Amino acid sequence: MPEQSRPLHEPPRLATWILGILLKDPLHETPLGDFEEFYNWTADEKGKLYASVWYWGQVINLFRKMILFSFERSIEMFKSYMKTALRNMFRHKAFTLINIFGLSIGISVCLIIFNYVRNDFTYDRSHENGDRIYRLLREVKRPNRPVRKVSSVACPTKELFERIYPEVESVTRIIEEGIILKHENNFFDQKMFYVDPEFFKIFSHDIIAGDRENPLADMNSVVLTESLADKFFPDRDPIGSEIEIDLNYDKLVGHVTAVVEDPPDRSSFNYELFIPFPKIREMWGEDFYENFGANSPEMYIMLKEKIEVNDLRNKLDLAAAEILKEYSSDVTLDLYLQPLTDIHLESEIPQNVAQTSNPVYSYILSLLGALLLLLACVNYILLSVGRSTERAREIGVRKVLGAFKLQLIKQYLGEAMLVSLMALLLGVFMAYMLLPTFNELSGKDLRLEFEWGYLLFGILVVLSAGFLAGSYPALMLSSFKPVNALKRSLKIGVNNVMGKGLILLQFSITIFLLTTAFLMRNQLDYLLNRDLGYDTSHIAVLNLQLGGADNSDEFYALVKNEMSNINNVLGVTGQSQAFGNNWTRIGFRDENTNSIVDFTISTVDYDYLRVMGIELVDGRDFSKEHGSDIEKSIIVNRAFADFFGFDDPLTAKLPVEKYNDRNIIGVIENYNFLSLHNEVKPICLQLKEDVMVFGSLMGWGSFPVSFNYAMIKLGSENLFETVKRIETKWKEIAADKKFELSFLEDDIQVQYELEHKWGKMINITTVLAFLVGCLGLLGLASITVERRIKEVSIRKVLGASVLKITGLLTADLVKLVLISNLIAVPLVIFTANNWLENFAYRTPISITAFLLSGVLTLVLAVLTISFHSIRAALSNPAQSLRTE
Amino acid sequence: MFQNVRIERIGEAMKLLSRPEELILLSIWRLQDDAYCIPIRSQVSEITGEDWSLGSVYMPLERLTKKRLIGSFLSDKTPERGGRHKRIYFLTDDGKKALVRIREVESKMWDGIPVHTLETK
Repeated sequence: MPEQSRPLHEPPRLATWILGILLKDPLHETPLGDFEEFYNWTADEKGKLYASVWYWGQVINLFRKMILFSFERSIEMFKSYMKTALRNMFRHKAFTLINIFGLSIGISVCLIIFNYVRNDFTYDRSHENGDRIYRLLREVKRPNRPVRKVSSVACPTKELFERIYPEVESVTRIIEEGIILKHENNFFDQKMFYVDPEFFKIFSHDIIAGDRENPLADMNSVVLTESLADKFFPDRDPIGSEIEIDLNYDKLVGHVTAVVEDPPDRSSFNYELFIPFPKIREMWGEDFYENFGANSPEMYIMLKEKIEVNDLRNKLDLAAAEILKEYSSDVTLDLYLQPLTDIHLESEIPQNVAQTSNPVYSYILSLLGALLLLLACVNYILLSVGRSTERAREIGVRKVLGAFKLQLIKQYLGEAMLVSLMALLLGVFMAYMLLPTFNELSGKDLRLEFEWGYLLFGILVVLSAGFLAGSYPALMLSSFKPVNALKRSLKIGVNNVMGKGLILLQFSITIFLLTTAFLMRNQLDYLLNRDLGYDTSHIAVLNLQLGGADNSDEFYALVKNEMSNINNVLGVTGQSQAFGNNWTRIGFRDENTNSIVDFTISTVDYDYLRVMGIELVDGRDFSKEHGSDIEKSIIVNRAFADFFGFDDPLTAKLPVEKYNDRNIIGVIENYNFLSLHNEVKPICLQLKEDVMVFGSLMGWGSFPVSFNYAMIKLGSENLFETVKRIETKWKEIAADKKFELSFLEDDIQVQYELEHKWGKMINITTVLAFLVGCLGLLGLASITVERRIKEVSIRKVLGASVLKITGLLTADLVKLVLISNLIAVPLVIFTANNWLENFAYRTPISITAFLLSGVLTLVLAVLTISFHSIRAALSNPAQSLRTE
Repeated sequence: MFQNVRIERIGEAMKLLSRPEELILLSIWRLQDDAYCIPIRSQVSEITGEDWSLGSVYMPLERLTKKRLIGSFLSDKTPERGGRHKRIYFLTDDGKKALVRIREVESKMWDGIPVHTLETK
């Protein structure tokens, strides 16, 4: 026993500190004191060294025991849980398969969608200085015009920014233009970028060969991508070689100064070759290059290091004021800086150079994936709860032996996790199989490669699916009273509110997806089969402007003449625009309302109406007999007449300056020259192009050529041969132009490509959801019937017929399906209405779709349950009642 | 039937004490106000002639506390404990009863057995 008079010994501090941590519970204060007192006593009796060794020994011992204790116990319990889980899974192979298969469908779809979404959300991340790069946006407000943010700016903006903002390190402008490269008698469509030399400093695109410092210094320099260089110069060094670029309206000869790497995956810029931006001055004119009024290029700004972007943002008014000097006084201008990484998911701003994608699709896909996974989880819950009576005994025994509720919850959650882990393995495999199909639909090139992100996502999915699926059964099963459980007097199952709710949820999701798919199908069919007001069958469209500098009206005349002589060609006509594209519009100030309004204008050949089968409702067609037609006459559609409020269009004058000397000679029926997303817009047809479209997005630089496209009406026989003959003839008369022929019907279909794609994706998801739902139903049916087998037997003994028993067993489920229908209907109507708003012409939401999907689910539900119930009804009652 | 009841009654009275628990219970009674871990250990070690570790005293103390045979309170801080509290144990009424009962059973068991008959030469 230590006494106060003796000197005090202090135990090793480190050891005390560790002990303090191991025994951090405040209740453990006294043992710490005991240790220290004992240390003091030992030090007095047996020396300090002995005491210290003992003290450290306590620390190590405590440490070891803590670890061993928790570890050993958990390992033992884990073994026991695993054993019961695996035994259970093997005993009920069908349920296990249903669970794993259903979950793996959900998981594989989720994996693919995660891949897609991640891909979409991580564009343009490969640039070294990416956090300093911004795109300049412009918002012009004019009175009575909708405000719109755009990414196109004027060429002189670069000099302006470099002059007035010291924060700016480099600036590049980018214009993209489609060009034709000719190689060994083949024509290739390529994308050319006009960029400032700073482009390669701002963006991290490695230059592989040639001038690394300043490849675009020379006005005639051209930079190629690696793949383009390999295509055109497969066997020699491209540096210094000449290359001829066909701009459709002009030709350029440049020499290659450098080869740059191909655009990386997930790049918003899909460039193929570059030429210096100042070349624009030569190509498109001084006016365009020096003027703040002509907006076309996108402009990218790299800030100096350590500059806060908000400092520059606050000063943007300065530049706006400079630019506004060239505008009229009632215009206001706001400038914005958009970070590079935000550009790809920008859906509000019209696409210019940078390729953007609408994130809405990512959200929709994520929702679909989540729904599928939810369905699979609901299956698991239903099946586990359905089988709970069987496992009641196990729970009873465990509880009697002293298992805590928490332990049981852990056990059942763990089982769900195990199932979802197995599903993950199968799901990854299925994702591999499904990915090519998905790539085809989404137009992306996704791959599944091992990455930590996937591992993390996989773990997350397993945990969340396991938790979702396992928590309800775990909570429910663990709350059994052991006495009841062991007496088998337990009556728990799908007859309670929760179970019914889950079945309702499942059916509602299935019906929702099914009906939506039907409605989308309806709308697409409607779009594709609607009478557009013109004849689309057997019309071949020839693009006249691909390559070759000769785009004159004479060339069109030659094509028309030669093609008309081909056998089986019924007529040839020309037009300035092609169906399926946007058409030129003319805006003007309406003096009455002082607002800007616009109408579409198109240049057509004399026999346009006849060849295209457009109906003339009033007046006359263009005619060569009237000499003034070519300059002064226009034909308008009915929408045009309504738009201007003409009582008698044939005598009316257009209230538009420059156009008020035109005579309206005819009125045609409205025809859908744009896609059916839009109403028929007012259009006026003229014979000769004289409008210069100043600074429009696509049309800049296309010189006034009347007919860019020739439409050839073919007879219905020997289509293929006729097309062959047209091609041969084309090669004779236009050797330096690319032959590009399409059929009008296909061009029109292309407008609805997005809808097609989404229709297909929804279809696939629906089929998968349906499959998962059926699996769950199958399991559920067998459980329900099994549980009521004694009731069935007694009824049978008492004289019930097979039909009656089947009906009895089916009735419950039928009720649920009907209620689910009621739940799904408003959801479908809401979603469908939202989607249909995209179309000016839409089918009404048909009751047939609802009936069809309702009946389909009902039939399926009845089929699965009646399979089991008929078997039950036919079984010998003695069999099941014998044990009673 | 009869047997079961008897076992239950004996078990109840003795609270199924193990030998170390018994010794420590007794030791607490002997030490009275100074009954905390260190003196308990040294006393038990002294009497049995075996070196008891601190751990082998803690475990029975904990079990006895669970069985409500002993209680404890925190007392003053002392410097040789690094300024920490002592946990002083005392017997509850049940604990006292248990001691009496143990004594009774012991003496009844020994009743009429002369000790010298057990001594071996």
